[in-house]
Amino acid sequence: MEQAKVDYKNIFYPPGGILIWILIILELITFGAALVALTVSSKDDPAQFHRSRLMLNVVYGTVNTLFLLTSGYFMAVSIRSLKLNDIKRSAFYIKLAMSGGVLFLFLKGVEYSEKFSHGITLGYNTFFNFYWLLTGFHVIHVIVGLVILIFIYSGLKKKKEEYDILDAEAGAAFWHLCDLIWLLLFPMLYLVL
Amino acid sequence: MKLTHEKIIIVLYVITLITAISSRTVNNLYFAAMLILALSAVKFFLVFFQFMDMKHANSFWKAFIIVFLVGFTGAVSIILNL
Repeated sequence: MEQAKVDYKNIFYPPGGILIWILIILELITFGAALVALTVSSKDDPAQFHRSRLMLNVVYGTVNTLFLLTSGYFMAVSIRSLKLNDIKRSAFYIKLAMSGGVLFLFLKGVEYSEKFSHGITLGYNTFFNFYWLLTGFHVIHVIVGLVILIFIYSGLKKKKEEYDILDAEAGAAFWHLCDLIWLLLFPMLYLVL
Repeated sequence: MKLTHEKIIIVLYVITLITAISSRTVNNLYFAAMLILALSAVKFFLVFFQFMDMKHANSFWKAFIIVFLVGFTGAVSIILNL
């Protein structure tokens, strides 16, 4: 396997590469701005926002946070194993990381179906407009992240001698981005307002 | 003390549970919001610096994320307090 010697202290070479980090920063700014807009909107009708927030299931949100954090942990261990040239172990932990993502999507699906069954859809009120758009875009990121992890996993399985660790690091950075976004969404939507 | 991934994930679990519980148990809503935001910021930094290995990155990237998160948390805190 190709072990690139990367000087992470160089501003142009953060772990995963500069392109993924430009994307990460743009994504964080976008979601951050949307959450600030949510907070501003909540000042128009704080009671409605508070009531709506209490309609969300904190247990689902908490368990989903634990799924994503655990998945991020497995991804970090996978990259650490890859740097030690332990490809078999790295591939195993990527599978565990993907399992965390799948569990997250499953529970999110359960939560979404409960909301649908109660007629709480897009347009229900301002809070739930933010809820559906923000969590919906986050779910899309998780799905894209899972596809990237599948590519990394199959790459590790097929091209053991020529695999570039930078590709895996970039994919891992995107997967951790899903963590970071959720770590902003979860408190703002489920706990704070 | 060396912060391994294993220690970090346990700290993240504990902080997550504290934030979830405090949202329903702390009576003062503004104080609860500040506590939850602060703890969530700690989680964010732990994932960024430890899991994403950004502790080894150039200071620019670290400074950018710190400014972003402090700005975001500060803006939300100020708006909630208005």
